[in-house]
Amino acid sequence: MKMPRKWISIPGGRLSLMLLATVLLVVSLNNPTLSLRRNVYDFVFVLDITGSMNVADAGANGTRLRRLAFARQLVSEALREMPCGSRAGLAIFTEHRTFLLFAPVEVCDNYLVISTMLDRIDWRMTWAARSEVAKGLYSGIETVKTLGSLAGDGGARRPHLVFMTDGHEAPPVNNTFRPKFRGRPGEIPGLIAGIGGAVPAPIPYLDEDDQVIGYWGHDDVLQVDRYSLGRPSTEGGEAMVGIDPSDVQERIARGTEHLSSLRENYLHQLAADTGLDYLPVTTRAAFARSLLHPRIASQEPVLTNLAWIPALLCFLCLLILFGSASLAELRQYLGRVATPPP
Amino acid sequence: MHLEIDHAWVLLLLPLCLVPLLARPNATIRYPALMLMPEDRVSDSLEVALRLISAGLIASLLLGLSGPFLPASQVERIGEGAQIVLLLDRSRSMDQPFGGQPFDNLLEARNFESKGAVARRVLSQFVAARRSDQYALLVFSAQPIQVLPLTDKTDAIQAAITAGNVGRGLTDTDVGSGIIAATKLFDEQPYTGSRLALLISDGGARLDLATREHIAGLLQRNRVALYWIYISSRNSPDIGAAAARREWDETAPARTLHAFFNTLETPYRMFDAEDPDALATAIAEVNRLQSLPIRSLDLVPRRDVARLCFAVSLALLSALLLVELLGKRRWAG
Repeated sequence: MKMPRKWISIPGGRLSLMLLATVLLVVSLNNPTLSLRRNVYDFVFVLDITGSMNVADAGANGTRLRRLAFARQLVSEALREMPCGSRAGLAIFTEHRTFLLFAPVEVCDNYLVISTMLDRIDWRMTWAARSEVAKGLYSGIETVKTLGSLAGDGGARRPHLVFMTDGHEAPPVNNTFRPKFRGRPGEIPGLIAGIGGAVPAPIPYLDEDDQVIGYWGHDDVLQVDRYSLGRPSTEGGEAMVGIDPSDVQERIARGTEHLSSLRENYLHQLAADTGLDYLPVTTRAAFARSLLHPRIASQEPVLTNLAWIPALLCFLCLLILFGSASLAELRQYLGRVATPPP
Repeated sequence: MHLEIDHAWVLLLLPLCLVPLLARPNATIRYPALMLMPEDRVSDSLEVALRLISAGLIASLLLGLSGPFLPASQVERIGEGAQIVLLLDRSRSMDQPFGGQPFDNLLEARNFESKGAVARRVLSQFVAARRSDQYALLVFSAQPIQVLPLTDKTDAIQAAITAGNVGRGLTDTDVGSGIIAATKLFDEQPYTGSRLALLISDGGARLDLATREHIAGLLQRNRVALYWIYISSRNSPDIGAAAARREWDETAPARTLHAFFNTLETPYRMFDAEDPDALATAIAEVNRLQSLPIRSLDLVPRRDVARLCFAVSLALLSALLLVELLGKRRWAG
């Protein structure tokens, strides 16, 4: 008797389909990988820890966080969003310089270390109560430059500078005699993140336990720059060359240096001088988005696991295998319904 | 620990598991009279089993394809080693040339390695030689600044040491507040291993009585050993010798400090970086410290579970394949 082999409705037969599925699964289990290029980022985050960063007027939607606390949150958010393989270093700015805590390290493996250290960045780390933002920024740029030369990889992955400040200079600077940027504008890439509110607010005076015990008053701070005040060593009130001393007393009386707000115009000016970008910060998510822009990413080969491709093909094989049998059943059933048995 | 899924929509395909359950029996075998077929309970239950296996196969494949993973989590790790707070001098004087190098001409000084560079090189080698320890790094100048929390991530520790090569030193040296801050890092931490404060500095200090007592008390209370890797300056007098001659102390504050440390009841050792064997000796000394298991928190990265799912799929598929190979396709020859 010749067997009509009806059950082989698939070309090649059930067995070959099952064997194919098995082979595909074995391939998938061997973890096939492909080296793809992926965007990674390198940042040195510099946090301004000077007194004005203690003003509680930052944060999204009118939350009143201290500027420094908000800056920490921003960095923390960026850390979480940075893809593995990216690197981050932390630095603080106070007095007139950027002080690097640690050079950039890989963010996923060292996440706990970086975020723990970030939480410990505090105004009490300061070693001098001055806030010379321009000089601090220049020294931040110098820091990134030095790091590039220390890395010795030909600057293939030079970090970007992220300088987070409110732009409040203390003592104030004279607009004509601003500290000069001596580097090449744009040589070091990066951005200045402006943090703080638009309305001038009093700067708190804190005790060792971080409690507010008062606010800086009008007479507690220098209201005008040192150039305008004249030479300290010679006769009182003797003016420096190029300074008109006539209105100094009036300017002191009108001064608002004891209040602090985000000095956007000044930061724009610094950004233009140094070839950095200026980024006004609104929310954490927006900050991370602007920061992790593909334009500034470097490419790094990364092994991508492709195990899912043979697994998917295997799944399709099995679907055909079981499905054809089900379809045959269905067809037969429908056939029986359509044509009543004779 | 709970499972999470990357592409949850894939699970919407799970009803496809029903496909093998609905299918007609595998091989149709023509037989003259079905009524004559003996009832075979074994075959019937095997049939059910095969369908269930097939359904399970589809399910496990779909689960694997949906990208299941165990998310990153914090775990407590137990290792053996010491907890070491590195206390690195970043005062301006550390930018001066190191004393332990021969020189003919004073004007050649600018080509010499600075004390800071020597200190960081020694530290870096120390850390590289003792990888199982936990380290924290404090730099100090006019006041201590913590730059790294206690960690066993070697990359991060080296990165913090590297940072010392960027920019000049800060201001003065206040060894006293540095040691106090380093020792205080152990406050409110369970005693889980030998503790060491490793001071790397060029300078001495004449500490006042209150500071001296504070330091001695803290070291004792937190059970911290103190090691000092002394980075000598040019022409600085030998620190160890002639300690008895008090008049020298006026010109060598490092000796005063050394003399004070020697009065401590807690363990203290001094190593001179000029001595080429100093580093090896220091590393060996730490080895001799009591080594207790130390507990630390670490982040375990996410683990993909897809492979496990596919392995289960393969096992189920092999079972089907076996039955297929052994199964009877014809009733008779």
